[in-house]
Amino acid sequence: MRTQSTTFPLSAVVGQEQAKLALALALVNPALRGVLLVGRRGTAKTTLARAVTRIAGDRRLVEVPLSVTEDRLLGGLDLTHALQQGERRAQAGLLADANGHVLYVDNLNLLSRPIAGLLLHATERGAVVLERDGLSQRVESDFMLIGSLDPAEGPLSPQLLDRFGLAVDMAASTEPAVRVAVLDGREAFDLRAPEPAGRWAADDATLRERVADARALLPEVRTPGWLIEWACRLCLRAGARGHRADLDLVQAGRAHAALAGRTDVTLDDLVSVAELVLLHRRDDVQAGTRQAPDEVGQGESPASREPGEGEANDAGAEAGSDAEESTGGASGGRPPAGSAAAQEPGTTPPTPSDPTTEAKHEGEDRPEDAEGPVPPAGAGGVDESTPEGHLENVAVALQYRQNPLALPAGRVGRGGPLGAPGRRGRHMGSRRKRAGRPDLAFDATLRAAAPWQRLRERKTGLAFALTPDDLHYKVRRAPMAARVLFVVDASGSMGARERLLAVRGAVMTMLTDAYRRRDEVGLVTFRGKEAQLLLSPTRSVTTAVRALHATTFGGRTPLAAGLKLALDQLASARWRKESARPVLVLVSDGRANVALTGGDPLQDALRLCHVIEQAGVSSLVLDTETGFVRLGQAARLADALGAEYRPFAEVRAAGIAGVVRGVADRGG
Amino acid sequence: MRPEYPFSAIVGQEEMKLSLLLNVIEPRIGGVLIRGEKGTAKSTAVRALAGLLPPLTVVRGDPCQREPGPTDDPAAVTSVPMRVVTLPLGATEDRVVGTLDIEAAIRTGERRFEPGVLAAANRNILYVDEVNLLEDHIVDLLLDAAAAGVNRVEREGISWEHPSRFVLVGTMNPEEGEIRPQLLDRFGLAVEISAMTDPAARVEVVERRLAFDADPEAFVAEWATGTAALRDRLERARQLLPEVRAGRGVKLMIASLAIGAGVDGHRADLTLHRAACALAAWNGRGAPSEEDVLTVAPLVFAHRLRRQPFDEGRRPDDWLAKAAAAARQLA
Repeated sequence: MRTQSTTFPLSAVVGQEQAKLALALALVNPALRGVLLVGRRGTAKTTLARAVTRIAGDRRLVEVPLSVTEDRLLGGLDLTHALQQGERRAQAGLLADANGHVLYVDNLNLLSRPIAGLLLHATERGAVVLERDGLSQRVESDFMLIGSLDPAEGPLSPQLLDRFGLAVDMAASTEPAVRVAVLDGREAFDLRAPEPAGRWAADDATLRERVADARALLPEVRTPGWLIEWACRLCLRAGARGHRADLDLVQAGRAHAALAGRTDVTLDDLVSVAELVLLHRRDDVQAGTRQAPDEVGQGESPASREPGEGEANDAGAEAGSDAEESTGGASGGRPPAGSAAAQEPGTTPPTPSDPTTEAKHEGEDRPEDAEGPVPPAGAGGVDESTPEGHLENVAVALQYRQNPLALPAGRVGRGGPLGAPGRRGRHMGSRRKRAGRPDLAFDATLRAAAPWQRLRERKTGLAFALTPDDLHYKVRRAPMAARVLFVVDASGSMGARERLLAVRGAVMTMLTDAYRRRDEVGLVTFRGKEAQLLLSPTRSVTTAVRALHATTFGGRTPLAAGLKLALDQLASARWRKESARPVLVLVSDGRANVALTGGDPLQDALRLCHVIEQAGVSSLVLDTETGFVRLGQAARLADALGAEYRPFAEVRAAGIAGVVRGVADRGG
Repeated sequence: MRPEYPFSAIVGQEEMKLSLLLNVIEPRIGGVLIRGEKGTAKSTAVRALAGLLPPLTVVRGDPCQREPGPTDDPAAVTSVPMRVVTLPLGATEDRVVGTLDIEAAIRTGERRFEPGVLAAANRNILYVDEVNLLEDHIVDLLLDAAAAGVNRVEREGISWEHPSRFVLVGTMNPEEGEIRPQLLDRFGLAVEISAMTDPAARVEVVERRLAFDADPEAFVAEWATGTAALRDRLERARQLLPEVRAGRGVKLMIASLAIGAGVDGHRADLTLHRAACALAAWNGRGAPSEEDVLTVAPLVFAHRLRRQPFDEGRRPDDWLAKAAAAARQLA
């Protein structure tokens, strides 16, 4: 474990005031459960999480490694003790270790779904029920959770997101002075320079006391009824479903008041914490439909946030120095980082497998949430002096905040071929009775056999008696299921509607039949100038129905844009442990008349096809070309994709879902 | 350990509450699946139910709470509260079906069966949170036991079997993926719930929760009257249930509703009949009315109708109204 002297001081972390606030609030009020830090690599997520111990009193940090197994997380039979003492005793897992402390999970979205589920379940209940290895008990596990997540590595389900009381968008600053300050701080720390170290230690100590005082004060903090109502209406307005957001907003407001040494929650308290509570619960995040990927840093167009408001907030968010903080505070108590929209600098060079990044900027003028309500022209129409005006302001600011959980474009994971099925998945746990599997879990087998040794007759020469009952096999999350993405030409009017209806039918069939296989199905359409992710790959019938209703047809044919979006979607699954085998189904006649690069539209598309093929995606091309004179371009695309090629009309009659399933089974 | 949130203090979600109560009155309804978005008091309601459950008559020390028979020593017969037994997601097979007592094996070399969750769940409520995420091999064990009403274990040279009849209660968020059809079919009732959108109701939810979090004991005490009233009403309903009889007209209506729904087999008819009788008992009546049948019919059919793509989430009310009219004519 790290000692205080080797932990980077919290006060030395430059900027990231929202994150520090969130951590302090969660330390003060356990009802908030946890803080999710959302940000790309190198945005001080881990540094901050570790620095929390400097203000957390006697609470220490327990880190959960990505490779954690169910055994290690939940605990199980203490085998050594059982064999030596003949007593059954539980060996504490990480969840029990973390009781009363702070639990940190880096890259939460890379944990397998069951493990992440167990973790967040414990977070909510403050205890875990153990029914394992002959043990049955309730284990206290009351901790504050800090999770970090890099949206480039894949999504986290809305259900899990909702378990976090607070979430912070951790964008790196684009201000040179701030970045220099970051460098200076790190250098001073590494050199163990006494000057700032003393100041940092003092600042951390002050904050630690403030947190401790606030914690003691919290039980006395009261929220007036009209503010509770205000909180509920804001959450409704922001599109947060469920009742957790309402409650968390009030609880965060109480913690905020306690930190200020007050026992009465004010409107300012709620406004200050609103973004932290609602960022991850907005409609677009919750519905699992993400915006079409924007070039981060470039994608934020002036039109997508309110003029004036944005500037004031930028000042507050970027530097986090005291002077600028107070500027933000003076502007009427808006959330300090109300629109500190991802200021992510263009630090990410286009990856080699992405030939199209540079050309993307031209089509970037779409606001992130084109289907959202139209904003009032500027904030001028809203009277900020009333609670109503505040509510409107906060809600609008949130709406035009870039969704930090959206998958950024141009990221194709960390390279390397797709994980093959079979014995290469990560070892998750072990199960009995899977004869025929080659993958013996040696430790679990010995553990299963150990207690019975006195009962069994040992064969001479053997120190240990095993029976077939003892054999345990490793359970791995191999990519058994498929992640199927339909890419459908919605341009033109003739046939587009019909194509989409047929594909919708196939999507629904696949989802309703997919219980056992756990396939994910998504849908991308392309028309006009751009491609649209109509349905983010999902296993949920409900989500699909909700997403597949509204569609428009007609216009030009940006085939390459559709393929590009599909590539981003399929590749993002790659580094998730539950990664599914990627399958692309292109429904098109191969015609293209909008290019990504400004060059030849068809060449663009063919180039992307090669990239997709290289990424190890199994493909199926359903050719919709009809008529007397045929160009046969869909067949060329199929060649480039290494895809199976079938005429749409023929497959449609036979059932699209079945054909897709066949491709998914053969691939990978 | 802090007390559970009281059932009587849950705001709204009447259908969910009713479906749970009906199962307490008549365990043969076969449980309930609660589907709904996150943060809608699904788990809270199930755990709160524990505070309302009636006592069971058992033989002292019996790990699977069997009903005492004529051969049992009357002096050993006692009463224990019916429980909500949780099947957690990370459960291992040995703890679900039971295994040999490890301590006994190591210390004395004795083969002694140690009952698992399926034994504890007998005559109780078996609760699975996020039931759609339960691992397939555990689901198989559940289905086996549910179908037979018995759990059989063969391990280390001993065989053991015990009754395992439980009320299966599951909660799930359909956004996280669907549930296996075989398991779905095991649930007698299903309800779809969503968060309330009325600000006043939401404020009520927050205020009660804040009060509970601030002082759980005081909150529970404050709601004790409501809890006691619910418990009394449940007990009266349970007493009355054996005498509740459905008339021929109501039975015909049940049958024609099931036929209209096009469901397989007779399970839906039986469940609808039991649920309607339980509702009648709940309302202190000796016979279910057509109104009772129509009240519970959506709960019975919600998960049994063939899925209509794009009609998902829409309740079968339209269909039900028509079927009810037809059934009335027939009856």
